[in-house]
Amino acid sequence: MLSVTNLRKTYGSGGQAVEAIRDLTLTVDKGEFVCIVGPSGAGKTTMLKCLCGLLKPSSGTVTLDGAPVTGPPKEIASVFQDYSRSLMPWFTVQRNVGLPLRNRYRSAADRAERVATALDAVGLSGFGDRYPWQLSGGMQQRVAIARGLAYAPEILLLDEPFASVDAQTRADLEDLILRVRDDTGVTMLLVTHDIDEAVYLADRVVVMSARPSVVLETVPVDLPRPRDQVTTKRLPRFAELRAHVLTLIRRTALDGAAPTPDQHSTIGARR
Amino acid sequence: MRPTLLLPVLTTAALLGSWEVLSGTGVLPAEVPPVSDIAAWLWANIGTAVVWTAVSQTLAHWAVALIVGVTVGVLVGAAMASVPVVNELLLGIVEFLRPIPVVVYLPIMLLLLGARPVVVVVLAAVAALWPMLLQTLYGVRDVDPVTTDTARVFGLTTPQRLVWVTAPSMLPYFFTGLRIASTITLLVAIAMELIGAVPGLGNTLATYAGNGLYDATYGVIVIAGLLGVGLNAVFERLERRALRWHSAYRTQQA
Repeated sequence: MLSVTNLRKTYGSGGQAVEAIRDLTLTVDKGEFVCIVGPSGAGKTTMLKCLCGLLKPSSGTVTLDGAPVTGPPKEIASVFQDYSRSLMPWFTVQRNVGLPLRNRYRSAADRAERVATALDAVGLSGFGDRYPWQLSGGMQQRVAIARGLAYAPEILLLDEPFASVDAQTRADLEDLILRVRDDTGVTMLLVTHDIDEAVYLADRVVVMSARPSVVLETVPVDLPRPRDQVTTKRLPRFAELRAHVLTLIRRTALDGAAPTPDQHSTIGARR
Repeated sequence: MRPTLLLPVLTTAALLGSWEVLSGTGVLPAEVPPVSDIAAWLWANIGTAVVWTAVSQTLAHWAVALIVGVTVGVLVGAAMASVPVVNELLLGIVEFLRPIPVVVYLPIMLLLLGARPVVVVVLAAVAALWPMLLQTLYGVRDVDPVTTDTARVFGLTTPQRLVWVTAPSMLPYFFTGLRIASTITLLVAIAMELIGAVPGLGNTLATYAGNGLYDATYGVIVIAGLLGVGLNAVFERLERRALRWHSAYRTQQA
């Protein structure tokens, strides 16, 4: 279980200080699919960086199964928005996927098998010898997802993973992620600014306020699984949830800071 | 012939042709012999031991100086880029020493060490050091932060990040530095041989010119020019091979 308590992150100091995150508290249970939505500039990426140990919070704690996160934990893998910068152009697809396994599995054959399994899971068998830049954007992001899966994490963090691909590819990748989650049971924490995407994918949607961020509300998504791009999105309940989240986001985007923080938040800026 | 090749060939031919005519008709002084004389000297002497000894001496100076200069430049540049304290300690010294032309050290070096190859090598290495140091500094600083974050999230150790992320990422800067350093090293080596009377192409040039052997003097100049072009071509080839993944050299696109 990933647990975030009263997370606060400020950049700079003194009069120049920018408060990116004011107060975030949330938990992600094992096997859960949690989506975090918020208006642009809401400190979503900052929060993810604190969760995976790349940034040190200004105050508050991040714990993984009770142990505080001080550096990148081996239980967490990440998929970044910008696949062209996150994949290494000087390595082939299979070397990119296999690179993080060097410190985990000693036998090369074992590593090769895991790489092959991960590439197969994202439908990229036979592309191992290509370079990432020889593939389309959607395929490159699938390589990044395969790299995350091959790492065999408990939690996969995805930072706006489908923001740089076209709409059709985006739908395909959303369904790919849902299938991977069903197959592996890995916990998913996905950050997005796309409300439809959040409601479609998640068990719970955490709505963040504009900067400085607090949790506005946690919305449980009681849509049936397996989800389907056509039938799920046609349900009246989908439209209701979508409208609810959208209302929250639009209000916070207009007002700036959080008007009605939920019970998790200890500080709520009122205007 | 492709039009891109045709035009430069035309200008070269026109230039050499007018040189030949002007020199043959006595418009140009005796210190500028006709192109045909220079070509004849080259044809007769290009295979001789005198020429090849001079070429190999200069190449040896160039090679040792380049290896030393590049090694020191890469190590110091990488240290400055990755350790802030090292940068603070050295930046002032680097900024002060870098613009000084190496030739000013020559008199002291000749006094200390005499007219020996080591003088040429040391000064050429110093000249090679600066472009290499700066390119390494920029290259290591320019590693994409997303790539670095990726490497950290997936638990790569510092040595692994150095070899698999930083080194390949700064390779384009490295090759630019290497090509600049190679050209400067050759230039400085020949100049120091010439001024310091150290055996090599530079000294051969000075001897021929001093004895009024003008066709030979120009012949050596041509050899030095070809050497520079040849070495640059070799490094460009190496660069293209090593960077075939880089966006500037990719042959296949998505």
